[in-house]
Amino acid sequence: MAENEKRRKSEKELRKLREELWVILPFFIMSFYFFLGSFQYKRGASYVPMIIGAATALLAGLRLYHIIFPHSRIGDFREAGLAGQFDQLKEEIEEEALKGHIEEVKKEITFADERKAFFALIGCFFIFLFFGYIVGSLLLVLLTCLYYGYREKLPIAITLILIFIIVYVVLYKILEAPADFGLLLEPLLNYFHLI
Amino acid sequence: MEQILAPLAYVFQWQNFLLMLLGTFIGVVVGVLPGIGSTQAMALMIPLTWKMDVIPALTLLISIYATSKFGGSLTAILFNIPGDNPNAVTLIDGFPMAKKGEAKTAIGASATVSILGGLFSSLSLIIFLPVMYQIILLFGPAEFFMLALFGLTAIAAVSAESILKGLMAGGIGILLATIGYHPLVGQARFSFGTLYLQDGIHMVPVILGCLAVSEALMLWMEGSSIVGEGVPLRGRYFEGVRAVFQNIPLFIRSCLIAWVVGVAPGAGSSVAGFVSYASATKTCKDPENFGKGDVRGVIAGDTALHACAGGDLLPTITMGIPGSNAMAILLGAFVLHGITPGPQIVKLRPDLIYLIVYVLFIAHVISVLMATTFSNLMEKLTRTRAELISPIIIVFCLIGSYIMREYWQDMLVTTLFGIIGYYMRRHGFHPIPLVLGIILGPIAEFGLFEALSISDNGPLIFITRIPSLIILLCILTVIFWPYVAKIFVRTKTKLMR
Repeated sequence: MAENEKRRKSEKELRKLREELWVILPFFIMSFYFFLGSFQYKRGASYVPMIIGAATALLAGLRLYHIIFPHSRIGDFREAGLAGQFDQLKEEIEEEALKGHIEEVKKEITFADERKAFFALIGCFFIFLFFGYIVGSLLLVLLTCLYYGYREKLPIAITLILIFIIVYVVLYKILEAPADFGLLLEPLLNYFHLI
Repeated sequence: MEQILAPLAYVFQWQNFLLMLLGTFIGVVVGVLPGIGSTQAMALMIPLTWKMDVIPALTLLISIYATSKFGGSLTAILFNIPGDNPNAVTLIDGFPMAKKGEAKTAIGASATVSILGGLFSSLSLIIFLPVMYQIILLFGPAEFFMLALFGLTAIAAVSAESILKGLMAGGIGILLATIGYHPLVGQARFSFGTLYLQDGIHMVPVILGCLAVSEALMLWMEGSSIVGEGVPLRGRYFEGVRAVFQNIPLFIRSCLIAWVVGVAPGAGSSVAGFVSYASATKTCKDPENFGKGDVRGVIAGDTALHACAGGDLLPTITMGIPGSNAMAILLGAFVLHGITPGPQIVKLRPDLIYLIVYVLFIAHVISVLMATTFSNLMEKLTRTRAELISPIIIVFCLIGSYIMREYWQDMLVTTLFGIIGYYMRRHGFHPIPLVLGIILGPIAEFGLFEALSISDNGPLIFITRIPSLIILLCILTVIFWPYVAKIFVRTKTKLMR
């Protein structure tokens, strides 16, 4: 029973370690690219990318090695920094002091959650790109309400008016932010002589 | 004298005063709203300060920084939920007090130490500034480079999980900062021939993506929603005020602890609050009362939350070494307004430091008045659903990144760094070192270039100058201390056996 539990725990840790590839691999490729790329630049311009590129590639490489060979101690990187030690101290005190005070139940984030959130974020970007920030922000509020199935008209109307005041009146008119109606809407508005 | 008093006049100019009120309101609101804190709020406000002069910009940002903690204390006392992480210390005794019908007493004590803690922070800045100025006069380009490097390594210490992961993220930040034209050599680096990259990756979209968008994504996915039933407001505010004055030694001790913890890189108000609370439980009479609704617990914890601002700000302003995450954002704001963080501010713009001192204190006072007056509104805010806050944060981040330079690519950078920042958080890489790498990278590179030019390309300049050598030793201590400490503990254990 205990052995099963132990195995399950180590499998979980291994999975977590493998997931770190999402961060480590891009870091390694990027720093290695900067290191190699620095050789083409003049002396003064190449110092920093060369030194920092090499150092970061080395660190990322060590971590990559640890992910590939999890039993190796190379690249384990368990040493917490000074703040980490402060945090440990804080956690010890917190654990003792907060017993029974907060019951925080954290939801396990799944891949589906992540996918949904990233799609939403990228969707926001495209809405802003195509419709500009003034119209885009209003569209986004409406889409969010639709997504969550909100039907109450008054709160939605109040939110829309507030967003309009912040974005159009404060940002655009008072703070003189640039006019922008996006790649799609701007030609249309121009065509109909609306702007 | 004029240098000291002139900034006070700036604070009371109506535009600046309005901005301080706005900043205080935002600070209190984000303090109350669970899931977002002053760091995210400051990051969100940076693009709005783009066209402002540095004085109103700093007024707004410092007001947010100074006031978020009191809002968090209110929710901790009334709802048993800390608005921001550091406020966890307030609820240990704050909520039991509220349950005993002493909510107003706890709030009164919290408000009093908030104002007095703000005063202590301001005074500590004024007292230590001349000392720092004398030290800074000894600095040249070699020290400026070393300081920038120290700032970077110090914030890597923020990485609670692993210092090497923090250094790796910092390295990536510096590398990203090298993209674009080198200001002294005049050569475009890593731009792939695109005009956008020739200008370099601007720090604001990265700050917004890494700190605000990634946090919003986290909040969205975790869907942490708020509070149960609150506790009715009973008791007397004045009792709390009186309790603080009856416990002045405890207040002073908490202030000093907070100041020292605040100066230490990476340890923010969260650590200060708990260390101060732990110290109070060990040094006060009747320690068994702590955790059961003892006002001294609220005093010890909350004093530290507010008093650590002075220690936090001092190394940030005078040396460019951020004491916490929020300070990293403040460094970004300085750079954005063309002011190099660190010694140059002390030498050339001491008025800004006095401005910070005044805003820090006055904003604390306003936040107390505001939060207690609008406590009903604050209660409603605690019921806001996280899934609704996140899209609003994302919308404002995208708007903020666009309106600064009118490049749609900046929005793309914010989106990408939002996702990168999210993954970094999930896998034990704090995004702050990356952000700081982008902010301090160019300063470090400039210092390196200048120092090497002076010394005719001899790197020995960094160890032959005493101040530079001292900073280098500090850097090495920050990096290698965990390893040295481990060896020390091992040897001690062996000897004990």
